[in-house]
Amino acid sequence: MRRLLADRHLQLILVAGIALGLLGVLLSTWGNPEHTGICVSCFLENTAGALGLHGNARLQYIRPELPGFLLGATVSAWIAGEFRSRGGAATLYRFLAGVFLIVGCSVFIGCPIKLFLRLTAGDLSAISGLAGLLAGGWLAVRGLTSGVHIGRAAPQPGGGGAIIPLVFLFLLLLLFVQPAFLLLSSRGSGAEHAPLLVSLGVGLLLGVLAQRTRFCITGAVRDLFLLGRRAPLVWGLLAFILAAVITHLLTGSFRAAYYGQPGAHLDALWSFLGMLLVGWLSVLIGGCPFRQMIKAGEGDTDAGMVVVGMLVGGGLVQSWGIAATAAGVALNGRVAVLVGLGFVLLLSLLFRDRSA
Amino acid sequence: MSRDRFDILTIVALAGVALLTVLLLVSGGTSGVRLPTGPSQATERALQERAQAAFLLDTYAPVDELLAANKPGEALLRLEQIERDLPGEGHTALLRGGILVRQGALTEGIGEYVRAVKLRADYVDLRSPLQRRVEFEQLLATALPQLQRRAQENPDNPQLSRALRDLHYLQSRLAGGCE
Amino acid sequence: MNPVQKVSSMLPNPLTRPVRVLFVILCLALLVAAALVACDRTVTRQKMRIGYMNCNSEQETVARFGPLTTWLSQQLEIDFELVPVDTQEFTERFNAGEFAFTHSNPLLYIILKKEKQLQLLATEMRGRYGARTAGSIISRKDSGILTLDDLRGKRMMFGPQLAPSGYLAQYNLMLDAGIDPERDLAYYAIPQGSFKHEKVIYSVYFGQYDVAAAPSLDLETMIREGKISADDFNIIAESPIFPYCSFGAAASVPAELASRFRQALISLTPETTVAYQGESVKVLGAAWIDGFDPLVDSDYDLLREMAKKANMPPYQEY
Repeated sequence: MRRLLADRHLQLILVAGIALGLLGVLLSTWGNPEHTGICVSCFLENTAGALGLHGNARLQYIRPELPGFLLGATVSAWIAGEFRSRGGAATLYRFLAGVFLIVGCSVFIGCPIKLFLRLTAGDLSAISGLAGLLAGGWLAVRGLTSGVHIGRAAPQPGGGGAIIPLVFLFLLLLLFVQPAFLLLSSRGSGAEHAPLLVSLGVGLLLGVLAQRTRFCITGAVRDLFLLGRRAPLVWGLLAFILAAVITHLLTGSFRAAYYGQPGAHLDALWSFLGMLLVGWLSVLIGGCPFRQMIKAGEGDTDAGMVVVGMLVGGGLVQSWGIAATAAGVALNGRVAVLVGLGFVLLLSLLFRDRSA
Repeated sequence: MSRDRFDILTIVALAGVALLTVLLLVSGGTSGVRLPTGPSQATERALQERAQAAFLLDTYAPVDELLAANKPGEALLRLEQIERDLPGEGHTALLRGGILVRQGALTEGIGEYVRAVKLRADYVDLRSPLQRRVEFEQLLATALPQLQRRAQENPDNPQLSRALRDLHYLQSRLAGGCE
Repeated sequence: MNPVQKVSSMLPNPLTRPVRVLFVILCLALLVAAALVACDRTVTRQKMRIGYMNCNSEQETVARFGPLTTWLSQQLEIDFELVPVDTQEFTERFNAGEFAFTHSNPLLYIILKKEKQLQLLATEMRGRYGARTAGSIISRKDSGILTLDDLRGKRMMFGPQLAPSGYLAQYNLMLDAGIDPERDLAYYAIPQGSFKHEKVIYSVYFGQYDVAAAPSLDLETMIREGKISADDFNIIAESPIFPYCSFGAAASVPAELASRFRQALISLTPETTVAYQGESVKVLGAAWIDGFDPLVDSDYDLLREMAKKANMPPYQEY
């Protein structure tokens, strides 16, 4: 308790966790799909659809939360003097990593944030995903301690770090202007969204909080294995979980069951493997999909490449039938996850520092 | 930072291009060739949906008439005929599912309902004029406890397991989510 | 030393001790495997017979159920023999002990269940109703015959008497509507030869008869195959659905074997294949079956009621 009162950073992390949990649930009650108040992977699939990167008419909408996260991080970083163009570490690998992050998320049906939103809503089918995320994080930590290192970002001249924030500002502009070429779902989950300004506001707030605190789900998993209970991010994650559970209970959206949960399938093995891929990759490249958005907002072009990869991945998983549905995981999705795991293993071989 | 002539020319050109772009967007390109503007994506979608609804109404009207006249057998045969012409149309599976359930072929009916939803997700969509949420909810309310009990009594029956899986799928789709 | 010996002496001796030991082990393993395979061939398997009711012809029965019988033999390690049996002789030949397993229509099942305690194994799934079927009474679209009452004084074609969906179901529909097929029709007939169900349907289609007792499955199949159109007929009435054809086992078949037989049937999927006459054949596809459902005896009670009402076996009274 004393430590909590003394450590401002820890306090801020707890605030970020509580805000994420609270607002993640409330966004669903305000109009986002069930259990999908915040889901970076689902939102990127929706955004990819709006831009015409896939043809699923039910998943086409530029989710304002995404520009909110990114631009909130940009504003926060700029004010704090932390906005710096940096990058150049295994850029194309990071692009592919972004694609495979979305592959893993789409096979599970949700990013790590949505995983916890599902769990805290009582969705027991997400337990296998949690096991996968933890297993992936553990494997990645083993890799890190064995010398796997994807490279460190270096300062980049030319202000390239501003490109991704500008792109997302442009996306936000498109959402407000709604030109004819923008695709917007009139039915399906793409048509379910909280009011634009509410979503944007929540996104900006969470973007600021996440940038100040370096909040990251898989970062918390990594720290759990490396540092145990001492890690502030672990407490942030617990605060997120607690806030989400309480909010679910208060809004009446808690239903503990294995079957019949929204946006969930029963292929436990592939939920596990999908999240294994996400956990493993996220820790190796320095953050979950949400954290990649935040870092991209801070000027990190490596994270920016991951974000671009995720956007492309969002289009591919729908166009190529990789994304799972409530009916289960199709063959394409299974193959894509295995290819992704192969990619991670390759990364671990190629980027291992064997000099120690 | 001192800028030489090259820098200055480049900056001026950049500013000029930016200004031209803004002017073009604002003016709507009145001086250029006017391309014919068709309906917007939203209009096209709306037209498509209305055409689809009208097409379904027209195609399946004979089936609806037969059902209203309490002729489910003939309605099923009519659906068979329609399926020859329109393979993979979800509405055939939907209507067939309803008939089979009412006639007592529960597991087969549930299978058809699920096939219908997989082919056309509108049937579980709250916003869609084609939605059949009430029908599905009634089915779940009656069939789920029944099938759960029968599956417990007959754990080796693959048809019951399949029907239960189908019902859970319907339950999940009705609950919503990102699909 | 000759040149071969000279060259050999220059090469390293491949037959080092570990290699020699490995070679001996390999030979021993091959000998044991050969012995096991030979033993397998010499073990005599139990032989049993399955009586398959002919729907249309012996050749059709053999073509449909040959692969399934072969597959069952492999699964259960019993040499099953396929015995095609005409419907009219089925009960007689079963009672004579010609076969221990049956594949028959549901009326034959309830007859043999009542008389010989036949065990129900699994019911065949085929068509929209799955493991069930129904019987319809049809007239031609332009006939003006639209209700059961309109049947009075008309010429009717029935399917075979022992066909539940081609005779019994329709007979019952008429009795329930207060129509006595023996008195209220002008006359009725049953076609000769094979493919009776199709002949029944075509008899109305070509105007030879006013109305017909058509199995719903046959109507469905013929529409799907484009032989007829739904526009060609009025469905005057359709019976409630009842179980379709099923496999049964004589009371003398041990419960354990009956259970394994049942499990084998219900484990079949459309992808299951068997090597049959030099080809890899899809078991269910060849048999025109979608799968098997383990129904229970009480599912046949509706058919029992129909048989009682229509004074049909096994409840006929003279």
